[in-house]
Amino acid sequence: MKKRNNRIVLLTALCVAAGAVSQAQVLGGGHVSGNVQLDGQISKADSVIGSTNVAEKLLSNMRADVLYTNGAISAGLRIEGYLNPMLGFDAKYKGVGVANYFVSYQRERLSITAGNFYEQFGNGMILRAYEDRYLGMDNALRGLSVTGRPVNGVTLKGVIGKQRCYWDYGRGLVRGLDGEVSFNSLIKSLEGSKFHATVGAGFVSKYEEDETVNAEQPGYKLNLPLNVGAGSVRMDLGYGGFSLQAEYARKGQDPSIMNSYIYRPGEALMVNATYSQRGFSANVQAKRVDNMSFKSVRSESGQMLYINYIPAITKQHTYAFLSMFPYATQATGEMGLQGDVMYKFKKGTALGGKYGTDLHINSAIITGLDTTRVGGAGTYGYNSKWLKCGDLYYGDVTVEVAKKLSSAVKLTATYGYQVFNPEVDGHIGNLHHNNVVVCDLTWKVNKKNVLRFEGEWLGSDSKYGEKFMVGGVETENHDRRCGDWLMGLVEYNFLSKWFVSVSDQYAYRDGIGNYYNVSLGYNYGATRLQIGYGKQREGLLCIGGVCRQVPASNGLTFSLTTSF
Amino acid sequence: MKRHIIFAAIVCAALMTLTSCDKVEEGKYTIFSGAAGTWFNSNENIPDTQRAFLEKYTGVRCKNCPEADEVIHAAMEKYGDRLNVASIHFNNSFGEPIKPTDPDLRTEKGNSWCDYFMGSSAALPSALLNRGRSGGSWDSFDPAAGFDDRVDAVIGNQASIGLLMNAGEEEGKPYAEVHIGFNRDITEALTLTILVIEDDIHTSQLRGREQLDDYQQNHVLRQIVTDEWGMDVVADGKTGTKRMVRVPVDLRSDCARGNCSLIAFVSYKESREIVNSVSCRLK
Repeated sequence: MKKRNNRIVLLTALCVAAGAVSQAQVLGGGHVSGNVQLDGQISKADSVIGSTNVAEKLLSNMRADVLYTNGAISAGLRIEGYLNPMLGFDAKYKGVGVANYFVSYQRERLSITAGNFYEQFGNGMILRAYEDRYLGMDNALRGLSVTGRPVNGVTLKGVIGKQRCYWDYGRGLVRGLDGEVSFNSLIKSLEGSKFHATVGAGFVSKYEEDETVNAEQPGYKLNLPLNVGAGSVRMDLGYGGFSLQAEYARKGQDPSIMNSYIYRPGEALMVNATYSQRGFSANVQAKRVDNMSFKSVRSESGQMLYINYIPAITKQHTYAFLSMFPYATQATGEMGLQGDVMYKFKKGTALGGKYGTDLHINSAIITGLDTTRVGGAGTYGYNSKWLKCGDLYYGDVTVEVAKKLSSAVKLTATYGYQVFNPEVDGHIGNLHHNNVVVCDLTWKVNKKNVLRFEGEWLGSDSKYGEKFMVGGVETENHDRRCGDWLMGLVEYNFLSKWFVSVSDQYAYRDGIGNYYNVSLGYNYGATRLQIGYGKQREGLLCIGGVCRQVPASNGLTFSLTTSF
Repeated sequence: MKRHIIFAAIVCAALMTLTSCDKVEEGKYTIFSGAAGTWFNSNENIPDTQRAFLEKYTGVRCKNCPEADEVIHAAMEKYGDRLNVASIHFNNSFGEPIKPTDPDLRTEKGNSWCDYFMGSSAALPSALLNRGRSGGSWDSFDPAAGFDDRVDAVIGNQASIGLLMNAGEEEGKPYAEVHIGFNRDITEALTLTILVIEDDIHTSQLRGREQLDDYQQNHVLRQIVTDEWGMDVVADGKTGTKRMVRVPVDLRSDCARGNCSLIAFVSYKESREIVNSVSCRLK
């Protein structure tokens, strides 16, 4: 901690000196920019929604990014503070310090970054170092990253480092190489062609020292592989409005807590076909993931230290009830299919009317793998048939119609049907079947004032308080998302600077809770201040299939963001 | 620049490919944990043979000890695997090597035994059989005078504990696997002691008035693998209970492995009397 504090003092002094000279102004020929965000929360107990008193009274998360750029050289740092972490963020974040710093040299043919950096190979199935402040996730690599572009269209990347784990770094060492060739840039005759083709391949390896993990057989421990490799090949082909992307990844033996220490290799295939033209687009995605959880520390069971990322293929909903049961990607094993169609009924047609009508249909289905158990820790684990599905995890169909009723009024109506296996996110019970209807009406009163109304209904067959047998023990369903719900929201944006919104979510049958919220916000240039008061339902916050548990809260929240 | 980048990338790729993914062969996913002291239930057939353990306290400067060795040798011939013997060279004036080039056969743990059972001024040769007591004292005796009747008395009893020991090797390191079977209820706490003995060590040795320059020392205590007072036996002590433990043997470098054997004995933790013993060659 002392070391960290010294770093904070030194680096903060540099930033302050830089900031004193100017805000986003010249500094010795360079340029300083950055952003600051402060979020705070006051929450008190409410036995109905399950919130508890916060001993500290006030919880806050803050971060400040500062970037200095001077020609080919850039340097930056990020100070983070969790005093103390807001509800739903891991308590291991508690404290303040320099979470991230780097120096980078960037030329047309060569880029080098030393320090903390983020990187992704292909879709991320073998390497994705990224951060998401709302998920409380940061698996930045600290080490060295080199990117070379020896000829146009060829990109070679090399990385080595250790991953951030809260205020520390995981003991695993991550090394990776990736190469990508874009034929349209490499071959002059293909420049500007309707046909495009890109191929790539990557390899990532992690090293972790040995440790004792007991096998099921008494007196024996696991013979752990110290170096675990994962490789992938990918392509992106297209002609005109059609494109086909595919990536196949394979991982060596990687016994870890995530796969119950089995020795089965991992693999993942993802295929994405898209066709688009003016007023119409269609997309089909398919994936199969088998034992592809890849972490730099084999005993880490939480959110941190993921080396790779399995992309989600389910639609990321934004409306409250449609996103009440988000699907979290199961890197240990799943297969899925998603289809998405968008069509615009032209103006002047029967369905298009005066302004045209947008129709958007999306459907996805995700299942587990069909597996046959071979054994537990210290065995191959299981066998699996490639195209045979296991239990249903998630399925949905969403139909959205968006239509401008007049030059000032736009209506978006959405119907969604969802079926969800509650065991996927740690709950119990039978499959949830949800029907959701959303009406979203936006009225542009004038150039500076917008009024928005939102009404939602959720009908669910699940019941709060129902009892199930789990492992031979009678267990009550305490999932507060259960029940039939109604929601109303009114939001008013005025003078292009202020906004106020009032909303309420109410479980009127077989559920529990009445979640009201009032929110007030103010924008001034690059600065935004928001204050809210109300109740937050417990649940999952998912971004790109990666989720964070959000506990119930009851009280005041505020947020201040600015950039310079 | 292009050449440098491509060359560096090829070198990195080659290094990564060659070094960065370990494969564990099927059947080798698990290895013995080397966790000495971890007890498990045993499924082995454990013989209920009662054996005797003779610990002979001796030294290279002990003039009468070779005579005792001859008696012991004869007894070993007679009783075979029912008599286990360890010669303990200890740290008094009798134990110091005669020539600087002679190996020092004394061990710290052997000294502890001798101090405890014989006292620092032990008269040599002296021996204990199963650490028996006579009255309130240890029943030590001169092995040179013969001890067949003592052995007969011990092995004539029914074994309350049966012992089986296997020696093996994993990744080049030897280990001892000891199985214990309870033939009757035992409520007292027990300990298991495992030691390494070595045969055919040649040293100088006094015998009577002469000095033998190339005397063959046999069944010499070279190391005690466990604590000198043993490791706890974790068992409920009920008739029919069978337990096992595997203990790695970190053999000292100056031992000739081919001449070494293991002896294991179970003793009462409080009284230190030996209940039974077993031996096997170190593979």
